[in-house]
Amino acid sequence: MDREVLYYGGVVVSWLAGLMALPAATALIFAEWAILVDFSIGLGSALCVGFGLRLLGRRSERGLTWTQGFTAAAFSWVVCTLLAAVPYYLSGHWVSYLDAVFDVMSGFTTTGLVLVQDLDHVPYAVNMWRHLLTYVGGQGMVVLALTVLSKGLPGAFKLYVGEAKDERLLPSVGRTARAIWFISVVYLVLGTLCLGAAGLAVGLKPVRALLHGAWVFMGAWSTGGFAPQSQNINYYHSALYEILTIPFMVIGSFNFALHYYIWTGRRKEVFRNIEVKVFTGALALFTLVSLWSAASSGLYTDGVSLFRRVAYQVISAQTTTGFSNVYGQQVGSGWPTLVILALSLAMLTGAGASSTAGGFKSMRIGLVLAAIRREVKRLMAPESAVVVGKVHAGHDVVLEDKNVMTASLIILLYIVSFTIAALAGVAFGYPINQAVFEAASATGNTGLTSGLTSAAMPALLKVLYIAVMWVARLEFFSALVFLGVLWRRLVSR
Amino acid sequence: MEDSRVLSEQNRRQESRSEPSRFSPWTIVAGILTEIGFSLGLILALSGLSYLIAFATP
Repeated sequence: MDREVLYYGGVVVSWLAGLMALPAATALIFAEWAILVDFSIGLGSALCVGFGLRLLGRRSERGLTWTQGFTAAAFSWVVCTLLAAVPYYLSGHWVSYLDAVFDVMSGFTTTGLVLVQDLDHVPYAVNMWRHLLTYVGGQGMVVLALTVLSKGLPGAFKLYVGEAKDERLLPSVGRTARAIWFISVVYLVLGTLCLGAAGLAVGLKPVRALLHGAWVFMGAWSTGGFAPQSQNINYYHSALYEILTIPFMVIGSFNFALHYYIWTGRRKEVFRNIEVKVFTGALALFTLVSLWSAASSGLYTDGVSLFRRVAYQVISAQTTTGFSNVYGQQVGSGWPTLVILALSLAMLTGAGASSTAGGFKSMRIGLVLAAIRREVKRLMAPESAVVVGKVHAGHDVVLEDKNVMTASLIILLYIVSFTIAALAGVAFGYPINQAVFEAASATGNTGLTSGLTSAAMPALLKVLYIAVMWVARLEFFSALVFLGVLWRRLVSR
Repeated sequence: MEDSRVLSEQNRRQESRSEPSRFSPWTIVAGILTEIGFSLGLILALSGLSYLIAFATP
């Protein structure tokens, strides 16, 4: 591994150590002494590893190459995941270290699949860590580090792109990272207040209402789908609570560039942007199919149940959040196949690029659809005619073949990854409905479950899902470059 | 090849024309209201669709 990669990895890991101070402080406030020791060990380990990597590494004054930027981003994610799992494992709420790593990767990648045991009785500090991981993972660990450090880090933009974010809202990557965090923190305050008030309305005590409000908001905004109770959103048995989570899921799945345009006065962008159009169209289509299938099969027959149970799952799937108000087993064994298929496609297609969401991303689907339209037009036009395709994303963008090719390649990689995960599920003996649904959930970084994901599932399948969540969140290329670099080192020895 | 160069150049010019805008308290509040309004519109549309399907399905 290049020394530059080690150094930049060390910088990101040092930030993870700083982040661990928050759950440690939570443990201190709520007098959770045993868990305070666990977080102190985790924090100490992260500090040592971060310091060690910086010592072993070398700061690059000339900036990073693309290979180094991509490798450093993927490497940081691996090391951060392994270290963030330490307090999880020590807390005793995870059966094995592998399970703890699974849940950390699920949080960081904003997936939301969980293997935690007895979630209803985990300490406040652990719940704080779970939700903090998913909140930070949504924006990105590297983005967090760049928020403050980009001035001192030459080549920071390549690290930023390596974490699957390519929108440059402002001239410098540091200012872009700060804008992303500004938007997220403003919504954090607003969301915590709204959901905290809803928590009081459903009978939670003030401190719990506020904490649940903050955590559920983090789960919604980061499209992570974590909630503090094992029944997820169903725990609150409240239409108000469910409805309040919807705007935060939808807004959280918007591209940060779209937020930036809207927040700087270009409000009509919400109706013109290609991503919003594709997202809304896909959501409408999958909701219609699911509602019709659920109603005609007799699963739910009244409007309230159809909206609260079926439409809510589709919104959760399309935004790749993973909040659920029905039991996973119920979905896996009792829901019609057509609904399972529609939900799986919604999870795979996903929402905004450069957002906290997963899946193919609306932008890529929009680009491919626009390219198909352009080709059909070209074939129908006279041979001498010049046909140009355009999409609107902030401004009118002329369709270029290289952009269409990149979008198609990434979609193809998502499909390959989904197919491998689905086949593995079937190979391990799970019914095809469940295997497809869970594979779509892991690949789309969604977190809805059909009941397949549990501590009892085979260890190999856990490892495969961890890998799928990781490569999908980094949109493949960083992870592939990282593996390629490792392979080259291995072969050259 | 020529075509793709022309298209890239067009996109580059378009990007450089769009100056970065700035946040202000008013644009932030209006932006948040726009985003929440859009989400509430979606909720209304999907709940309407749910009732319609429930009504239309025998």
